[in-house]
Amino acid sequence: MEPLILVVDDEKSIRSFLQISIEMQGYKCIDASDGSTALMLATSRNPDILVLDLGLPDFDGIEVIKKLRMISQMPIIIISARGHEREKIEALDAGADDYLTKPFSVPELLARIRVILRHKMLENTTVEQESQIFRIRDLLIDIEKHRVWLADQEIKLTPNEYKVLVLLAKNQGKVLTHRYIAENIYGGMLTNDTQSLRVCMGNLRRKLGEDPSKPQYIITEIGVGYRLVDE
Amino acid sequence: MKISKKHTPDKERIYVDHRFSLMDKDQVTHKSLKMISILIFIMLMCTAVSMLFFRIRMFESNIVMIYLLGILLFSYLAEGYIYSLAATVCAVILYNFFFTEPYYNLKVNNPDYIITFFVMFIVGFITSMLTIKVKKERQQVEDREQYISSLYIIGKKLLDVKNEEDLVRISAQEISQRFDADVMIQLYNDSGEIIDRYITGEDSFDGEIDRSACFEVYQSGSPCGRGTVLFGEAKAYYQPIMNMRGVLGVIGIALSGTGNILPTQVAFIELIITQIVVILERQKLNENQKKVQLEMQKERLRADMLRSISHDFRTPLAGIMGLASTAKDNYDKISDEVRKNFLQSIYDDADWLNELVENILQTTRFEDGRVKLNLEEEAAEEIITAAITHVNKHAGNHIVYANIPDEIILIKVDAILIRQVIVNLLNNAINYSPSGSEIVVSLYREGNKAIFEVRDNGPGILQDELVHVFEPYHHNRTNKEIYRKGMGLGLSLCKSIIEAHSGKISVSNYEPHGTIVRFYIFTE
Repeated sequence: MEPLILVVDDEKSIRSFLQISIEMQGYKCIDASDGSTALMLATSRNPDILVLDLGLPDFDGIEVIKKLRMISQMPIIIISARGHEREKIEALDAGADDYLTKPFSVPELLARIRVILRHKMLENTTVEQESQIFRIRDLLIDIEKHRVWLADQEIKLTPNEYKVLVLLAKNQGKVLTHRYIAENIYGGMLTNDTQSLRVCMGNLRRKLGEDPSKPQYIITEIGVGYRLVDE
Repeated sequence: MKISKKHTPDKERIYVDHRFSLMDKDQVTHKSLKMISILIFIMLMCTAVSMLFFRIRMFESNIVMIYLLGILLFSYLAEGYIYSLAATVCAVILYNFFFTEPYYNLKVNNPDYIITFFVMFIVGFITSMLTIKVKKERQQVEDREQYISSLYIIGKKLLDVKNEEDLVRISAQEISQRFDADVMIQLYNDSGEIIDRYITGEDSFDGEIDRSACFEVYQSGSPCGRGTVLFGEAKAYYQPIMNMRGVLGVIGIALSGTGNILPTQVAFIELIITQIVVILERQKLNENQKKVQLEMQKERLRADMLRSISHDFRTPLAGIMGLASTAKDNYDKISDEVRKNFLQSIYDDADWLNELVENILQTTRFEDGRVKLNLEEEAAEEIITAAITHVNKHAGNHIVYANIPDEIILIKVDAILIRQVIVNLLNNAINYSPSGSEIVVSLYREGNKAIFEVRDNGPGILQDELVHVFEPYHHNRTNKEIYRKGMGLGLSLCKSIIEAHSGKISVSNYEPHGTIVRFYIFTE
């Protein structure tokens, strides 16, 4: 059965071109123009992905995420206006899985949808046994052996750098907020210590040989967080 | 206004030295006792000298002279009409008692002496009065001089004040120093809120009664507090600072000791209040003038901005509309290839509009002063990478490089805004340099500065254009052909953003050709 995607936006033209693009990919698409219809459809039709615009006429998009998260773990991609970084972080911390900034490009949205669907499929097939080896381009992470190779050359990472890399790899393609990463690496004590995280990421980028004008592995989402590229 | 008047000895003095201003009853009795003993001493001395003269049989008139001298001396010291009267009477009685027949008796045998006594009394009293008057006048002149000079000093100090805060502080300190009192001055704005408040010494003004008294003064515009009918039990005396339109503030004076404020002190305060009011008005006038000027400047900028925005909008909109209508009207006649090109052009124009709107939005936020920097510790290189990734989507054939040092440079900035700066600089570089040009973004540290550079090898900017590029709505006219790609707001917004981060931005030409824009932000 083809995946079902729920698009929520109050702008009719956006809904219509999203519907066309999504259906062209072979997915099914339903849409809603306000928060209450969205919640209703999300619970009754149980879509595979929710694409949610944060600026809704009836209530705050963040509210929709919070309400939905009480009953479901359905992946949510949020769409927000540029400059509303706080809102984005709030939505991600409330449980959204990914975000796009308006105006966004459709191929970008479709790529994000593909990432989420693939993750979902992987989860369904290998529930008991978590993957122990990640391979992204030339990067190879062996979680069992705690070792990392870049183009067959082993690279030495500090424990924190390794933890960040694994965290990003496990959430490949998904943006992780600074706060989320800090909580997972420093265990909640240093969630406001953005400095050490910046330095840690800087060192990690250097060890991965990233070209600052064209990063191959770690994408910096300025003001929000980091993500590991997905293909 | 009722002010107690028990300090009669000081009443006539215009300027009241604080040492005397607080004299109470005990001090008055103490002074009279002292004067009486001086009187006795002087009279004894006069009598003793007269005795000597009498023994060696000098003229009697010399004895009268000695007593007159004593009266004068005492009057000079005591400076009170009652005292000099007492001294004169004393002298006449003593002269009568010791030196007229019959001796050691108040009886008078020779009626000539009655005349002598009478003349002696009149002469003694009149000369003593004159002495007192001369002394008092001299004192008055001195007091007035001191008074004028202190007013002058205060006036001079007040002339130098830069703001209301200084004004309040200096006036309070000056009054406090001259009156030996705790002084509070507070100013109100038009809606009755306290805008400035200064208290010297202890805060004696916070009691319930004092606050009510202060409020009453603000409400009624007439003085009250200690020494007046209203709120007489307050710790301080309150006087309004008023101009024609109403109460601007209140001065509270809490004299140390138990005395009440004197009319002369009130007069002094009133003079200072006049000066304060003049300065406040001057300040207000200045502010208004500045506001008007700023408003005018803003108005002009707004007009420029609207003109520039409509121009910047019309160009891509014309493209979008033209392309869309051509494609619609000739849908069957044009090939798929052309249609695709049309759609791509529409997308590019819309993308450009989007960039434009972003800049306008940020600029208006800056101009309104609504922008609140969302400062965070950021790695400078991440901002550069984010900016390059952003423009790479429409960089076309331009090659964008980044030169990042080994060191991770951390800066406390609003990352979104700094990215916007680099994006604008990159867009400018892309728009103003031919396809295939190289654009380099460099980052390095110089002392406590993180320096960012965006360099292209395009045609550069004409020398006389260089100084204007950061002005809002300025279009680069170096190349007429790419004029349509004007970034009217881009560079001026960059400047606003960098200056909001206490940094600096500058532009220069790069040899042999090209433009280099450099800005820095402090790392600590």
